Amino acid sequence: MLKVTLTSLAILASGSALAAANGHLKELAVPVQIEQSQTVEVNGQTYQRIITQATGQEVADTIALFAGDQVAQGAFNQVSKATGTFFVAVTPNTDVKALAKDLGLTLVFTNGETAVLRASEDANLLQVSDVLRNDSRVDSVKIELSRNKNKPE
Amino acid sequence: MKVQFNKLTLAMLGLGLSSMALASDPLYPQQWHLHNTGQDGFSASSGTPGQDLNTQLTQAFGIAGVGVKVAVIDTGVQIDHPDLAQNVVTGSLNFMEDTGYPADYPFDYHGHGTSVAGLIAAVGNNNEGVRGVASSASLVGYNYLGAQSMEAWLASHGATKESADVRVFNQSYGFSPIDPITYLPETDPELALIEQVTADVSANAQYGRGAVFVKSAGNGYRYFNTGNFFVLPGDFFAGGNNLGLPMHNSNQSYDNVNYFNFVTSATDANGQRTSYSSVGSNVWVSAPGGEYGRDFPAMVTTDLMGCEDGSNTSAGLGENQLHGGTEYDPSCDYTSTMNGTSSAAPNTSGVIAAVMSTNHALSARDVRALVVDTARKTDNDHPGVALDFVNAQGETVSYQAIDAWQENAAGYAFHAYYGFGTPDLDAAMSKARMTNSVLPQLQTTEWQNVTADVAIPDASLAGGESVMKVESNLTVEQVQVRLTLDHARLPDLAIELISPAGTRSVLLTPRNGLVGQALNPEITGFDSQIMASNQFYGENAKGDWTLRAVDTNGEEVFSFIAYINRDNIFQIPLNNNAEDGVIKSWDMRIFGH
Repeated sequence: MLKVTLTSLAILASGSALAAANGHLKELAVPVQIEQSQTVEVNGQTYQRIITQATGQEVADTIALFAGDQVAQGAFNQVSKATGTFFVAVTPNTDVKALAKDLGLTLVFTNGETAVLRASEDANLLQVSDVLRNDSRVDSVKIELSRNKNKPE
Repeated sequence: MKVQFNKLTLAMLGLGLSSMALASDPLYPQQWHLHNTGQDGFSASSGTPGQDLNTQLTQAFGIAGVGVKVAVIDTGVQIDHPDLAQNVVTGSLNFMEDTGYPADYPFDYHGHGTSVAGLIAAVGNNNEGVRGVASSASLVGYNYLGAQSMEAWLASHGATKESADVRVFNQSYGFSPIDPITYLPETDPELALIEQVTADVSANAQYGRGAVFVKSAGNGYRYFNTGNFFVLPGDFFAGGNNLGLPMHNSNQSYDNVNYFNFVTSATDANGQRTSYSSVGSNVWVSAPGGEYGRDFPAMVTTDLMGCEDGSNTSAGLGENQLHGGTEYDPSCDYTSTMNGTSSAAPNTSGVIAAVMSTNHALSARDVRALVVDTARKTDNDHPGVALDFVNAQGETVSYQAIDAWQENAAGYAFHAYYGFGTPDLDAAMSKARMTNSVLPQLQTTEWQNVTADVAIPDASLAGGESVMKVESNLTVEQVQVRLTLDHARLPDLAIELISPAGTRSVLLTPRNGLVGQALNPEITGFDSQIMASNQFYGENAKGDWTLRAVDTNGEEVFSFIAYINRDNIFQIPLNNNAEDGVIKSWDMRIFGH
């Protein structure tokens, strides 16, 4: 839902100006229209978790986030996907492998100070995030939301 | 192809070295970025002789990146392309699902990556197509842009065994936000991870010789794609040009602020900023990127194979002299319309790979420094960009938003368009042959903080300023600032940093595209917004550093255009700040030695 009302202005640009610009301006798809969604808080920010047939009504009734779920944010419904992984900063001298094992997570990468951990496919990422956050070995946690933000330049 | 022999060529022949005039890559004569003779690159006009990467001597010596592995982190790479395959080594990865291709074939869903790869390492002197800057470098490709997870980022950026032996990472990609972004690795483990990995790989890859991450600055001078829509200046369709200032300043994107990303802007065949190149104080060099290949020369490089895919297809017959299955390229395996800072980056990557292969004892850090030290000033007479505005007293005043070439206190010339200039391969190669060490070990200061609480008067050259005293005696390479300030209309602001020696660097130009406040009123200003400047390179860090914020716009209504497609164009207003802005606090850290 747009936070502000946009005035759609039929730009009375000259044909040449529009053509010149459009020679290099790509036509983009209009923002996703979300039919059904659930408000979730991820990484301290509010998103709309997109409810689809695949998500299922039973799941839709629970505040949850699973790997593969799509969430939208912002005036133009920018869509991201939960990958099922977490960024974790750990306290000094933490055994990251032990941390992962203790919490039933897969260690994807660590350099000793930070780590990337992956949850099982059916894990509620919001619950996993809470568990990580409450672990004394963890300084900070972030759920990975990927939206292919980088474009070829 | 017209053959010309100059004294250098004759001398090289006398020494038994190959001459460029005898080059056996059929399309090489149109690759102006390697040797600009005023050719047209298959477009409708010519460039200026000499405006190139200065590669002739390096090529004559046969220095071509042998033994240096370069990663193309992109849309993928057709590693079986006839002009790439010979240089491809094992290690490429396919991150995308359901492509029908195996895990070690980086399916290129777009063509961009294949073109990038050709600029770096298209095989040279093989009677085929084009020639890369480092035409014997070892090539791997990753279609990271098709599946941008952190796992894919780690695997393609040197953090895992798949890419641990790569020495040059080419990143012809980026993002251009409209919202300010809080940059606090101290509390954001994703940002912390990226910083730590790029630092570690830069220093320690390949048995301690390190690696260089090359990064495109962006293509947002006139307008930019923020993901959902293009951001255009409010007067764009009336023929306006944002008062000559960039919509996307390279410092808007925090990945361009990473010291370990060697940010590259783009020049055209006349050695001037391309129409689209993002610019900023965090640019290191400016390499050929070209224009669009129809009216003005672009890059001639590899394309997706065949006349059905890529930039060169059957449908393109007539759009320029090369495309459409012409006699020059019946199979449409090459293109003459590749451009962007996406091209400037691989041209820089090729230079770095070639210099590395000149002297394998040099660290990545040293090679980067050599490229900076030998970069060539270009567009010498560019006057910068002055912004005239009406101040709060009703007077028309002028703010120098972009300076002309400025020499800093250490004698380095810098321009926000061009960084330290165009890479000069022959000069860098010559120096690389004579030294095994250029810079001492990198040192980085801790973030130092100042609480300011200084007003930024509306529409006034006076600005608000805050001073930080630095005790460190480092020789500066890059300075990074994180700024927290309140302001209701961020594009009004110019942000400057002035060194103890008096060098002024504009970290953020005004009238930029940080227009997110128009769509999200919860944004009240900057919160630890990170910016960087390379302009103080070589100066001493010790002394008083002054941060200034100047409000250059008292107009009540200012607007931008959000362009989705021709049926969805929105003119979006930003009202002037009702109260003066406030610099609340800022941090600074210095990379140096």
